[in-house]
Amino acid sequence: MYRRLKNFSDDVNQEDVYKHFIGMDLRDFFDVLTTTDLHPTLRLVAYLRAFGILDKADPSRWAFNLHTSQQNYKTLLETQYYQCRSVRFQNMDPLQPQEDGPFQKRHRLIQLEKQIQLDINRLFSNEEFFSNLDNRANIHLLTTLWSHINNDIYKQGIHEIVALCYQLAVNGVQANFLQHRQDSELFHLTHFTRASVMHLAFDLSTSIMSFVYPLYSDDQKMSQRMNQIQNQLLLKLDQPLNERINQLNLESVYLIRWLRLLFCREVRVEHVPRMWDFIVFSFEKTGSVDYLDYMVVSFYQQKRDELMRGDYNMVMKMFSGSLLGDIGIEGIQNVCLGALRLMGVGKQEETKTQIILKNTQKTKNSTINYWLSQQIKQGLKLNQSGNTEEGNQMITEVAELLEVLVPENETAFLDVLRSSGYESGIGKGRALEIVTQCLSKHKGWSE
Amino acid sequence: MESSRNIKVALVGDTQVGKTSISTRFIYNRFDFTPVSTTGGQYKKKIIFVNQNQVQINIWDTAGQERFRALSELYYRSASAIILVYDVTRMETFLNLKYWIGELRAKGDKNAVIVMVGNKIDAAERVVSKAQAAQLAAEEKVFYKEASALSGESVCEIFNLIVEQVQIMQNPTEEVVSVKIQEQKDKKWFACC
Repeated sequence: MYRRLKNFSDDVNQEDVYKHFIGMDLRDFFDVLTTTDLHPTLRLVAYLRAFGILDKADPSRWAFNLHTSQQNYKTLLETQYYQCRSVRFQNMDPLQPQEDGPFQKRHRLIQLEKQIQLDINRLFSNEEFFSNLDNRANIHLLTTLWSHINNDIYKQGIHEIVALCYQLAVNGVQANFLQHRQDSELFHLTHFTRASVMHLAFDLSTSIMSFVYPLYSDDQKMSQRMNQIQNQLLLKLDQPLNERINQLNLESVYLIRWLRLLFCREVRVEHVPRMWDFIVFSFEKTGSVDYLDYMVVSFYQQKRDELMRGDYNMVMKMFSGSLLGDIGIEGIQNVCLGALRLMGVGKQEETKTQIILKNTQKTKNSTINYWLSQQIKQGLKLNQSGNTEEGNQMITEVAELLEVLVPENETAFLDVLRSSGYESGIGKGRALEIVTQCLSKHKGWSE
Repeated sequence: MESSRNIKVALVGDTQVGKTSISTRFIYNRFDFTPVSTTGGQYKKKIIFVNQNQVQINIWDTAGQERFRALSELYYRSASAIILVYDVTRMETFLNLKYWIGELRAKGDKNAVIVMVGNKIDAAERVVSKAQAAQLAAEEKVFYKEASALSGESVCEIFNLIVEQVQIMQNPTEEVVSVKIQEQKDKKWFACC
């Protein structure tokens, strides 16, 4: 499955792979973010699900979720933006100093727009996507709306988070592969159109900002956090590096940019989505921004040699630019995985498949087959005794395991089926029927 | 405060007044037509020679929106000089200078040299006059210069002034060497050093 997700763009049965992807066990589903550089539409779906914009447990509600999201965005835009911006004649004095009067609100909104525009004018100017005037106008509107409904707050950097969310939405929608619009399992993908970009981007930005905003709003805490990373976390994880940084007497100012922008300026823009996969994964997993601290340490470790050898000026020069702008996507993945390892996520929470793989490394194929056959037997029993869902889930898991464990999995699967006592007669026919039904959802297995 | 061989300079001022452009012009002698907004801080350095002695100027470029904020202490802390930039084409950036000066006096080094700089004097749409700015500088007892990061005009003069004044601050009894970071005219623009 992972292999097919990795090569999704070239897959001839994209819709089937997608169905299996969204049907995966939740933990495995989000683990994919760390193992695979996903197709833009799949990435968008994974992000929306991670933040609960799409129902985490029930994909059948996604079309409804997306419809609701669109309606909410339309309402917000109308009531909070357009109505506020175009104040009609009212029988009142526009100069009356009422904080919440319509003219004052309009004035604040226009000031906010001007302030944001100053930053939008300078947004990733070397990138074609962000230089496009329509895209800039959309990003400006999204940033303004978000700031306006949050008490007109705006801090430099928020516009970059919004911009990258907008790009994720545009890419996800543009790469939509839907062909069978009538297929109920895929129906939600009909909402991934140009018309949906704004509300998808807005919801995504809002979700990410709900995690990140404390880094913008509370300077004292931000200062403390920067100190803790340099003086406590780094000391705990890499004492020599911590000592070297103290010896260089490095200011931690650059960490403001790293943390607030979720490291988006520290790598090439085209690599940001891959890096954010890990960040979104960590938000979903932990419900906090703690992973960012480990990312800082991992970034330091990536430049360990330069830090240990370089002088203050050389190091500060390195930090003032794009720190990992010179490394490719593999390197970025390694830095992110390194941060996960430092955080202990990889050690403690392996997926079921990973655990089984590890446990069966030195096991004979016949033993594995026997174990799998028992699993499938149990799955079929459950199915026949009325626990259809549980039974089918078990059979699908066996199929997934086989895919990972044995290259020629289709043949192996039939072997397993035979050894589980369904080798002939009506039993076999019924078993095959059930198994086929289960596997019709599983990409890579023909019916 | 650092010795005169190593001078920390912090650039502050409202958003998009040209802080980064001034430092880029001084350090690299170029103007970046596609700048990005500064988030957090940026560090740059330049080594100059004063009377055959090497002086390293460390420039901390800050984000304009960090005004009044606790994080600003990180930038001002131990700065020998502060360049307070406003945009001569935007009155609000000039009006905000009083707040900035208050902030600097409250959080910065009491002996830091403060230079108020009106940037973008090459632009036709000037709204802040020289007289207005000079009056404010006199009231607040800070130095005052006008410059253009785009053309390079007077950018070096700002740093000449800073190096001289830092020398005076640090060695009040010694004879101060007049500093001249030369401006050379290239084909298009003035150029530092």
